Parts: sequence; structure tokens; C-alpha cells
Amino acid sequence: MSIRLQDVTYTYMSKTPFEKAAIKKINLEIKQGEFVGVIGHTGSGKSTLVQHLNGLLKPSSGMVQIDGQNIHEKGETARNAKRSVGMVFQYPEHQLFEESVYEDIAFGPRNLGVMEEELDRRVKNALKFVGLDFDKFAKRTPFQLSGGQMRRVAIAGVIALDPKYLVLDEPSAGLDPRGRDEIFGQIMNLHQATGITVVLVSHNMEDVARMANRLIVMNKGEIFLDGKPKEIFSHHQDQLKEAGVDVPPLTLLMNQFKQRGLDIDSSLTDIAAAAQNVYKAVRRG
Amino acid sequence: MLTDIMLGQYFPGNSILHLLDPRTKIISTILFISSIFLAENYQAYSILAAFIVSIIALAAIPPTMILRSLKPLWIIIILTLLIHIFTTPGSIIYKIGPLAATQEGVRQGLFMTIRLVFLIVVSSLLTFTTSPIALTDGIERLLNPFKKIGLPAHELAMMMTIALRFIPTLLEETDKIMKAQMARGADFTSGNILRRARNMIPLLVPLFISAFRRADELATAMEARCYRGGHQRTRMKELQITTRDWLAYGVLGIIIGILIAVRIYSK
Repeated sequence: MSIRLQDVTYTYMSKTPFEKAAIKKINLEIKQGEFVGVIGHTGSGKSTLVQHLNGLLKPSSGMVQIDGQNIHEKGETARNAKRSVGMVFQYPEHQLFEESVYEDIAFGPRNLGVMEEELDRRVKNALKFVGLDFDKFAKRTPFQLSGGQMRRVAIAGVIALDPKYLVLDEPSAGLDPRGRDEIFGQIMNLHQATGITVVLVSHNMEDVARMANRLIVMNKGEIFLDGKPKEIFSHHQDQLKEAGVDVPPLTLLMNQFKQRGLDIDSSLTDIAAAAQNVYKAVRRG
Repeated sequence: MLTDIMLGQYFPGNSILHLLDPRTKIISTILFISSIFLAENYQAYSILAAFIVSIIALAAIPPTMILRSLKPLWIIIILTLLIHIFTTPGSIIYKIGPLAATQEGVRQGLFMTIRLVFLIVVSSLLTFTTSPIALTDGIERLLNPFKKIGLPAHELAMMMTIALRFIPTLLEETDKIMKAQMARGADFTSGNILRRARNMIPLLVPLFISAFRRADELATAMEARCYRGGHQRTRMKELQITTRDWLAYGVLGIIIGILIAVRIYSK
């Protein structure tokens, strides 16, 4: 069970002077249960890449398979395969349109033909997952909520689709640090509680480093690095710089300690664990 | 998708036509289009054709692009041809029922059609070689004298510039919202007209909200930078008439002169 991309190339504005290949010959397999972070500089092709995962963009050449099904074939199975991927866009609150929070979250599942009782259950679940109280919010109009709340309602609208794979494109953009932590905490909880596959696009290294168990670094439309975050941060710093992405501040600090001769593990991505590690090293030294 | 469409038909390049001042291009286009009506025999038409072909070559616009600009109007072109062939009185060469094609009609129809094609090609050359922003700049400067009689030239140009500027942004936004709703199972393509109109609500509501939000933000940003309309406003890129432009007027003058001469002497 996986999403597979084979030799996928996508060209914008083809056959005009503005032609530009956004991604080139991408080969990628995302297995079920993974938490994949996709990072890259602006214009590196990361957003284009993830829009292929549920068939929103059709590759100029190459093939996309979800659970073994080519999603650009005609027919019911291909459509269902596409629907197993939930997609949260950048600034998802811009897509809210219904009169009440309940109705907006119910829009997706209703389109899939989900009936009233199940619908009710899904909306309640989705709201719970994004940490909003059903009784307090369900009847309210989404346009009077705060930015962070609107974003959560929008994410709930995708979670209510009950996707097997969840793709999030910069879900924390424009949120304050607290809102960001909350959103990421909820995504992490969802991943742990349901085993849902998550693909998280971000240019904030810190978040990705903390949560993802696999990291894909995009550069100039190609997959530049692919591996465990720890390995990438400790062994490929020069390449990261070349791709225009920053090493997380924590890793940077740990590296500086190490250069000063402190015997520590610079691949740690969790602040508490890193602090422990430094403490021990100082005691020893 | 939606964002793949071209705005206007500007075809970036570095030819002398691209580098001309937009005012020169607008005035020349108007003059040249009027001079097309001076032509009434084969000699004059061939001069026009030769001139048009050479400026197309000069502008380095691919001929397929020129043909594409004719495409939306081909029905009108054919219709013009047929109406002239069948309604001009003269010596009959062919008869279909009550309709008679005449020799004069064929000649007249051909000339009219060529005129129409020239008209379209020349005006699309203007938009091919001038970016929309340069075009509005040129229009603003040309309308400047009319400010005295109360025409808000600057404001009109600013409105056009802003509208042009936001077409791609709104298209992008539409594309994004469409994708987002499609990812939630929305369907914009099937069903009858009523159903389709209703299916547009999830697209239109967010689109309007974002258009108003953008307008509001833009107004604030402009006010924050003390925008007060056109009064005594200076520009960063002042349009300038150079030798190149006088050269263009010169060439145009010669062509119009020749056309007038041909018209007088062929009578």
C-alpha cells in the first residue's frame, strides 16, 4: 500500500515562451504509515510535486499510482484511489464558504455520498481532532472565527473525508508560534492515533525535523536528498546549504558545541533530549 | 490548468518594435489602420502586404501566433467575403438560386477581406510587442491633454493597470480554490446548467471574499504610501521619444506617402 511516482515530469505553460519544467523525472514511493517531510527553497517544485499525489495535476509525462492503481485512468477505482488522499492547501481557510462550521466540514463527505448519521459522526470526530469544541463551534459562521480557528476548521474539512493519506502544504504558514505548535501537535496526534500516512510540505526545517521520520529535500525540480532527518542533518549539511534550506537551529547549536570539543550527539532533534545530552557531556567533561 | 492561459497576447522580445515607445506604437497603429483604407487596387494592397510582412519579421513574432490571432474572427472574415461576392451588382459569373456572384463582387469581397485581415494583424502586432502595463502607460500619456476638460486620465490608467495586474492573481486564486474544493469531492464539470451554477458556489464565495480582501489590502497599502491620485505625480520610468521613434514615424510617413501617390496616379 503506497503512493508511487514514476518518472513524473510536469511543465507549466508548455509551448509558450514562459515554459518551465517545475519537476523533472521524479521517482518516489511513499509507504503507508510514513510521516514524510518535504522541504525545499521557494520554487523548488515541492508544491507541484504534492499536487500530483491526488491527481490535481496530471503529469506531462510519467505515472502516478496509488495502491497499485494508475490514478489517471478512467473509472471508479481510479477515482476512489484519488479520494483516498486528503489534501490541505496553503492558507486552507481561504476555501471556507458555508454558512456554518458544521456545513463546511460536511461538504466533503457529503460529496462522497456519506449519509446523515455517519456524517454527524465524522464532523464530530474531525472537530475533536483539530481541538475545537463541537457544541461551541458547529453552529457558528466560519467567517467570524479567528485565523487559527478558521485554519483548523478547514483542516477538519479534509480530515472528515477520512483519507488514508494526508497531504499538508505549509499548514502553519501565517500562524503565530502557539497556533503553529497546536496545529502540528494535532497532526502528530492524528498520525499516532490512526497510523495515517502524512506528507508535510514546509520550509521550516525545525518542524519537519521534529516530526517526520523521512525527509525529502527538493532542489530545482528534483529530489535532492531523501532519508532519515537525523542522517540528513548530520551528514549532508553542505548539500542542504546548496539547496537553500537551513539546518534547524538546534542542530546548528549542537554542531557548534561539538566543534568546541564537547562529546555530544549532534543528530538529536528533540530539545529536551538534546539538553540532557549536553548536560551529561558537560558533567563528564 | 487555468493559470496556463496567456494574459493579453504579449510576446516578450527585444526587437526594435518591442523597444519603441508605446505612444509611438499606438499612434502609428491608428495612422496605419486608417491608411489601409487608402488602398483600392492590387498595387496598393501588395505594398501594404509587403510592409506588414516585413514588420512581422522585424518583430520576430512566429507566424503561427499571428494566425492564432485571426482564429476567433474567421467567421466574420468569411461572412464579409460572401456578402460582398453576392450583393455587389455587376457581371454575373455564377448563380445559386436567387443569389448571384459577380465579378465585381469577388474583387470587392477579396479587398474587404484583406483589409479586415490587415486590420486584425496590425492591431494584434501592437499587443504582441507591447506589454499591457506599457500600453496603459502610453494611453495615459496620450489622454493627458484631455485632463483639462475633466477626464481623469491617470485614474483610468491606474484602474486598468490594477485590473491587469490582478487578472493572473485572481486566476491563480481560482485555480487554487477549485483544486481545494475538487480535493473535497466538488464537481465543476458535470450536470445540467442549473446544477453546475449551484456547484459554483463553493468556488465563487471564497473567490469574492478574497477579491474584496485583496482590494482592501491594496487600498491600505497605497494609502500608507501616500497615494493621492495623479496630481503632480512623477514616474520612475518616464516614457521617452527617441531617435528610434522618429525613425518609425519617418518610415510610416513614407509608406503613407507612397499609398497616396499610388491612389492619385492610378486613377
